Amino acid sequence: MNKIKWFKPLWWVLHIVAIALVFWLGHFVKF
Amino acid sequence: MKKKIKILLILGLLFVSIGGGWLHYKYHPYDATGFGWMPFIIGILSLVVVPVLFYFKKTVHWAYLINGFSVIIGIITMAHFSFEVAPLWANIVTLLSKFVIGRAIFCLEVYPIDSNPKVKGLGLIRYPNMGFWYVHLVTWSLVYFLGNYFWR
Repeated sequence: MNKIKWFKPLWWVLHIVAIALVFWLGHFVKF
Repeated sequence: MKKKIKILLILGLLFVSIGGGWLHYKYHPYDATGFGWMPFIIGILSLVVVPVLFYFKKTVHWAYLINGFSVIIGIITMAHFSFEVAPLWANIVTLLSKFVIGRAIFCLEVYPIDSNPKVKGLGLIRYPNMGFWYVHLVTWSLVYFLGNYFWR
């Protein structure tokens, strides 16, 4: 999978989006 | 036989997702509570997108990832609910079956049936091994906790 040219940028985008999303989710979910 | 087993496992995944989505919708419909949107969207994804992605060999990695992360987010939010409101530990254990079925489909499709891959060192915590999921469960829990604790 590392051989795919766009793997590295995709890896970074996914991680930044995921961290932002999960952080927001912690804020959003209030029981 | 391999194809038959794969379809049976996809059906198993589908039934677990239907049951889980149904329960969530009964407890907190998306229009009644804000957070009800989350299991609703993830439920639709698990019902419509994940089984289709698992069916095709080319997209099995995406299905494995989406399925695994939907389980992780379910574990985290239900653990949060268990600490704050009422215990849902039994439901979390039930949710784990969704992960196991997804991993079974992945292994069936990706590895030769009699293989026994030996992974060592850093490879243990890299995709697609189990350590990858443990690391992500811990880090997602931490990020979720930080968002909940510091952003009020």
